[in-house]
Amino acid sequence: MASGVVLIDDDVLELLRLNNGIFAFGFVMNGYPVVYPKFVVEAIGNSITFIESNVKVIENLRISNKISVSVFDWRGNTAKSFQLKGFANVYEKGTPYFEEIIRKFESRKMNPDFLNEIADRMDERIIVPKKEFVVKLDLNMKYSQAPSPESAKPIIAI
Amino acid sequence: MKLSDEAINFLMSGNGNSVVGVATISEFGIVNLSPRVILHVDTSGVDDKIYFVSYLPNKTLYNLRKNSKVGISKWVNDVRGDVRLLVITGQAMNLTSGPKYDEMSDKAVQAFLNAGFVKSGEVKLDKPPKPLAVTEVIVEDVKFY
Repeated sequence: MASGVVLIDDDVLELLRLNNGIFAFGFVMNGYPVVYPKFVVEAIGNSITFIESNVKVIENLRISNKISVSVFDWRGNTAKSFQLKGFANVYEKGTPYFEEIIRKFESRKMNPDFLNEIADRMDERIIVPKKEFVVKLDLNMKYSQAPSPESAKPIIAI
Repeated sequence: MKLSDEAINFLMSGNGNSVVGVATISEFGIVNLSPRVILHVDTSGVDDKIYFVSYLPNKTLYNLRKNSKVGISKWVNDVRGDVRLLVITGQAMNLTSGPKYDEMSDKAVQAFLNAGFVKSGEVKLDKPPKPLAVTEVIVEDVKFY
């Protein structure tokens, strides 16, 4: 990938905002591919970071840290859909990055800024049940799965 | 494994459509995610079967030829956060002919219209192209939160 490329661009951020800061996180769980929704705490440059409470997710990420992220418009309003791929890095309690991310979440200083407004109106127990781990996804590839209504049409032409 | 009526209803009409996220694994262990429209859930057998189609060659189809394990997820976001989440895992098979392939090919036309991705009148329904494959997923495990 060429240097200077920013994968988390305005299109990706728009879809994150439309989905209340929640993205589809794909990884391998007990040998099966799975998709779980996660709430973004930081999405900037080429990485997305979230807070994880489930130790089983972490155990599986330690077996295979190859992950995918999908942001798409469930209701078909924008006809945009992106998939990003990369690697997961786990940060435990006590590490500087863990503490930094928890502090950003709790003080509502997340990036991008719209996450703070979303978190304020959401039930925190739902989006972040426990603050056990921080997972940073370092992304290195992005696919546009439906970049525009025009280009989406051949895929779904019937 | 059998899906509950509530899970089937959520799969087919939660969020007002049957769009889900489908996860597969490449031969290199890389997960691929793809939004798909679920066409039908067959509850007649010992294990329930879920169907979706592919019109063009894609990573999901390619991966399933190498590794039949598949994950299907759907959730509903409201303004307070996630309130419903369905996670299904199973074994997939790509059908390219036969009665089930033909049945699902016919269902695909209406399903895509219902999903809201295309508007009625923008597509020609008299001669819809046949899907490259119909994927049949045998349900092995279900988590419904």
